[in-house]
Amino acid sequence: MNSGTEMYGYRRADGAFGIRNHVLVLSLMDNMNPAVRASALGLKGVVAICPEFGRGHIGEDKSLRERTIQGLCRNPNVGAVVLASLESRTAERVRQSIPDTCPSYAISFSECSGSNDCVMKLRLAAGQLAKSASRMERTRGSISDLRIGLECGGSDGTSGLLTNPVLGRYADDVLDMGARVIFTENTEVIGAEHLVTARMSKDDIRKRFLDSIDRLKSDISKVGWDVVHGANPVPDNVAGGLSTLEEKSIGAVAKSGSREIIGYLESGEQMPDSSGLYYMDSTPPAMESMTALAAAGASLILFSTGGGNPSGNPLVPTVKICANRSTVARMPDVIDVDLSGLLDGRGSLTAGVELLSAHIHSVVSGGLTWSEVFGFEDTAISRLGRSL
Amino acid sequence: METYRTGLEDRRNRALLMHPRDNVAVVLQDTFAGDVLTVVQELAEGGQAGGVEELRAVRDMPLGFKVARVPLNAGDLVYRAGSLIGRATVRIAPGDRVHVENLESTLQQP
Repeated sequence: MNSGTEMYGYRRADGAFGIRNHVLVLSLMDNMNPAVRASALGLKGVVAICPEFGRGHIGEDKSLRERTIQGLCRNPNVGAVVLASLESRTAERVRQSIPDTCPSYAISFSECSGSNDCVMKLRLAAGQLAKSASRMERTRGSISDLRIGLECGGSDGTSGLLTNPVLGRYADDVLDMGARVIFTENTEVIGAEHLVTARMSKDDIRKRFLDSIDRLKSDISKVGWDVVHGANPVPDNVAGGLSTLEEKSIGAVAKSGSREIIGYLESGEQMPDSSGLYYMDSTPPAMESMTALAAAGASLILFSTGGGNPSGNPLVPTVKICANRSTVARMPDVIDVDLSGLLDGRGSLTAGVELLSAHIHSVVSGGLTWSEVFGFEDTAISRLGRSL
Repeated sequence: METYRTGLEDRRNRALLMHPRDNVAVVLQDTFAGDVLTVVQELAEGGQAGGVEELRAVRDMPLGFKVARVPLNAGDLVYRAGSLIGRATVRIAPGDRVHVENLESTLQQP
């Protein structure tokens, strides 16, 4: 582990440690997306998030949506929030879930004089908050302040071979130093459940986990889809050398390391204060998965890839890690950490962990990832049902 | 590709044995039929104890693909990284590729 463990970030009133200080302009329903996009154009320090949908959700779908929206507002990398809604009731309800210590505005279209007046009001609010947020100073933190989300995308034969084992060792190291780590991607646990439950000593956690996998398999086969052969591995996995679902899942779970899994989270549920490793029941496609990790409070996302994936999360710096030399060579503006040299005998797993750790250290204190530099970032909140 | 074949020399590539009980190793470089694969137990160069295991690749295998270390019969369970990853569907010779064409999942439908 890199012994330069001094890191500098933004300490929030509740003790959370952010590694960025974004002003979030959040559209609460998609009829406000165009106004929110227009309001943030050209503004510095402002992140506009415009998820699809937002009206007419019911049941579990509605709970997921609300959890995720609230979680995004409370992410440790968010310094201030502007909420945009068609009507004021929703805006006020969400605003009340944000702590008083986080500056916020709620703007509703019904109280504006037309679409451009609405854009101006959002823009002025965001601009004001951006100016004061920019004056906040970074202060010292440590590894134990980190909340790390783990992500896989475009997996190939190198993922379970090297990249995920390196991530697993890194996770073990930071967990031992008091950090919090979340891993997720539920269909990519099918076939490796035994490896997960073996690390869950609490009966209720194990039960919730197994129930969630049973429900998942049942939902998939209810629509006539073949769980074992139909979902995973996908064609790019197969082209990369992964042959069966269980092989892919075992390789995916390797990124969570070997430490005990102390908690189970619903998709987008905020992680508790206790340091340790959590499993979150969220879907694998990267946009949804990263959005759920952001809502759960991750301040950093480590994204293992074999074949490459261009995108990251707008609130949470996303570090792309790859051990496939041809992918790294082909995509110089995507991969942040290149582990492929280890396959040529240039070092051990430990050397890979040190390389990763040094890179993460610089990202935490402000070094941008490729997806941050190019703004290759988006948000997707999973849907579970119909809109009324 | 950073290397090319002359046909006059054996190309030597490495394949990683992730766990002692595995019956497959994972190739660390793009490998072509006829190449010699040295099975290693550590990533770092020169970092393995004990005898050197060698295989001759029967088919082309890109980086990250699996190669059989031992003869496999149809129905044999296949292990990678110490875990069960599937079942051989046909006979597989040592040095042959192990992938979707000769390996099936052992998972049951729910």
